[in-house]
Amino acid sequence: MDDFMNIALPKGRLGEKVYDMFEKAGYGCPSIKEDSRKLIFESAEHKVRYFWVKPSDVSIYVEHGAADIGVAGRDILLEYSPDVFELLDLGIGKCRMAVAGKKGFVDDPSRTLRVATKFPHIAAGYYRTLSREIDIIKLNGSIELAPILGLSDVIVDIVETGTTLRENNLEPFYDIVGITSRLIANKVSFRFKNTAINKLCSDIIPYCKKDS
Amino acid sequence: MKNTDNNFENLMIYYGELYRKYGYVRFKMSKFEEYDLYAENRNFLISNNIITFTERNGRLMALKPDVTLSIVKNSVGSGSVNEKVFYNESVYRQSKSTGTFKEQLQVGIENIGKIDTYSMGETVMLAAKSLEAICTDYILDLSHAGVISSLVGKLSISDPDENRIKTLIASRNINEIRRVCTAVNADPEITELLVSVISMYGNFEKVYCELCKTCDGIVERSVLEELREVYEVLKLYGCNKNVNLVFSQTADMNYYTGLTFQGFIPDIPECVLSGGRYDRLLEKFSIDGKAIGFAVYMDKLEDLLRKTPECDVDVLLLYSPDTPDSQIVSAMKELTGQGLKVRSSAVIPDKLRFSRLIDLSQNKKI
Repeated sequence: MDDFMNIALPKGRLGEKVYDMFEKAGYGCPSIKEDSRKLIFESAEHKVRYFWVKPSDVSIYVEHGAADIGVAGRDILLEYSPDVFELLDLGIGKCRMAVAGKKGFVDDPSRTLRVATKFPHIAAGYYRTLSREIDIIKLNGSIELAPILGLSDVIVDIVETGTTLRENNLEPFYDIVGITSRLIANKVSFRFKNTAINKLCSDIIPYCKKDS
Repeated sequence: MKNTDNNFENLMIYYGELYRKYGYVRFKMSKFEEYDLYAENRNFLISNNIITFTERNGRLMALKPDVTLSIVKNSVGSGSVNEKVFYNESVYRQSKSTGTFKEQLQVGIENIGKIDTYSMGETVMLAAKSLEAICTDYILDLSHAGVISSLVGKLSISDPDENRIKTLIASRNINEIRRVCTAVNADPEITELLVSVISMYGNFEKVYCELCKTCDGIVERSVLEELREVYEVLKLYGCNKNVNLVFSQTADMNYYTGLTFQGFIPDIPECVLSGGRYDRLLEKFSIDGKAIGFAVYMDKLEDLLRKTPECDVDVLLLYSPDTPDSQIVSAMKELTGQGLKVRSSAVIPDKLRFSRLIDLSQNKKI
């Protein structure tokens, strides 16, 4: 175990926002913005090593110790329940997990509800609390298509502004849970790199959005 | 037996010797148990999925998913008699990520009967020595289920909410704990106390002082004293250097009742040793006594300990159909006598990696 902190960042716009937060907090790594082909970026000065991974893979890298810490959405943490510590709510990437469907859809409780989602665990958990029998249709993308084409009655998906839903004549019905990005840590790294991880947390806190 | 020659087999032998030295005797068990044993004690199992099969007489059997249940079931330990056993056994459990069953090797000890602070200290000392044999930079986290349960108990919330909080404690999810506690109208003062206790981590003596200051009058004195006394035993044995105190160890709250501990090794991303008091299991079996034990998860150490050797054998001894057997025997005797690993063969085996070839048919060394 070297004394570098391995940080898994989610690829994409949100990941860049997260990196900016780390940079402001004093964990900058200028090379990350220069070379786009490289996969790993190191700053010997701040003893950090960043790598970009698919957002849904961040928690896998952290759980298995390939990254000491990482930033993952609460949706991913709720769906996969990785065995990690959840240290901070960064307050960014704010959205919500919601049930949505065609405008004017009326739920008929006398028959099984067909639910299309990328998050079967969250969806099943939510309907279990309502004691509602459902059929889950697991999709990997373009969830909004499902109710339009009659593949499902409703969808359980992330809603940010609701624009995509509106443009497709869909609407959100209920919110299941609020979502923001979380700083997570591997449980063993947390122990062996405790001082560094605690310092990083307290350095980041001032840059977390508070209203989450 | 320190870092230099720690391979898997040596470590297993070392553990056997270590536990025997402290009066533990080997407990050997069958790979199977009657399924009923696990069905009746589901709460004490990590996973409910068990491999079962039916014997010819119709009895439903299971490949054992756990060792402690078998030991406790057969224990002669009681309030007056102590039984100390160690084991080296495989368990069959489902992998959380893939759902497939895996055979996992565990080495561990169980001390059943009259348990006092010395015997707890001795058990934790053996855990520390077991970790030290893998790597001197280990971390041993001590905890006490009594600290969290008394705090959570004082939150005045329902059982399902308590369980939710305990899950959040295991992931140190402070934001969510505060949110849930507020939502279910938990006592705000106790909530903040709980949050500050969960946030504590580090050197035992430092964290212990913080804990005593923070929780004076809230956590039972006996719990705090027990932690201190166990630590003192560890200190007398000189095994307190890498000992930390932590209160986010709540994953097995059904199983463990008092003192708990977990061991960690750099570069292994999961805990490699886990143990603690499990008095509740003895109550379930109507045994008048207490118990403490731990297991080392040998399967998690494989990558670290089983270094792939550069060569399969030191010498490949090649002979021809004309080579007299006596010449092969004498060459084998001489080379193995030097402590070398020697493969005798009439042809060069495909993919065998060797550092030296001795060709008897040519009668020359290469």
